[in-house]
Amino acid sequence: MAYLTENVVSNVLDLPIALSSTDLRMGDWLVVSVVRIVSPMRLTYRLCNIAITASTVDTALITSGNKIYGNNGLVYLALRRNYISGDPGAAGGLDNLVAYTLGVYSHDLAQPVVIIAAGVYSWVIANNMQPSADTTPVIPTSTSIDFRLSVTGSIRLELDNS
Amino acid sequence: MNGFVTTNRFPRILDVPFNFSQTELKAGKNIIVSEFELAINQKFELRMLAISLITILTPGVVGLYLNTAMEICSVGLYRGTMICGPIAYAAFREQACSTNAFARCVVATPGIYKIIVSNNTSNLDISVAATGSFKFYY
Repeated sequence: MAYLTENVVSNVLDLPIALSSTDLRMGDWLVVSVVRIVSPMRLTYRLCNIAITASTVDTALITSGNKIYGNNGLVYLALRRNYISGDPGAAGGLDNLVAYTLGVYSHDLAQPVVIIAAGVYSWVIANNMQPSADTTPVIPTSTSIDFRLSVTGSIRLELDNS
Repeated sequence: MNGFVTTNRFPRILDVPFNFSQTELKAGKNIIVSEFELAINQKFELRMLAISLITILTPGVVGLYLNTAMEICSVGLYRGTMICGPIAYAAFREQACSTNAFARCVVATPGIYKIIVSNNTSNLDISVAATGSFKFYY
């Protein structure tokens, strides 16, 4: 447990992951935050919240047939390396914060993601809904399942991890 | 800079973040992401400013740059009301572009500072995201 010097403190930055209240359409996604790290930086992703405040449908009616990825809830925030475009739920994500219904969902503080590999890291929020694949859909397939949500989080970037 | 940080000093060093999540930016337009006033005896250090071009919304068009140094889009720190001559900036060249975090941009001159994201073309609509943070000392 060393003491902190001004020099050490100046080398530690807290960067935001922030999306103000936004309507996210069915199946759509948005890049919330982008950070580029190079050697010898260290990035620690520990704190993030997704708050879903409104939905265009009753979420109790949403079935697994409405989900693009069955294990990704209604909305998920994916951390991806060198993300350019495409479905953020595809294999290769480094971390997923999933929101299963209306309310606030938080990243587990006790399980930080620590990254030292150089690259461009993107936090992408995605609406995991699609027109129902069920044979008898509860929600009409013509209905767009949209959510109003916000994201708040923080990333700690140590510019010199030594 | 190598003195220990006391519990009195630590609350006077703040990280001030700014974030511009994916947003459509029309040709030639710019958006103020953050604005703050620096008073005398205060200073800030900007070390991280990153921009990512997510999508070009008008495909098939060759971009006409308004300012070639600023590439398709850029994010910069500006003083006052003008948007020429950023104090520090990151212009999009690859997948994402950031300032050199190891070259500190230290500002102690009192004034009003802005973080502005710009579309530097006259004919391309784009979708961009930008993220950054500065250390504020007072």
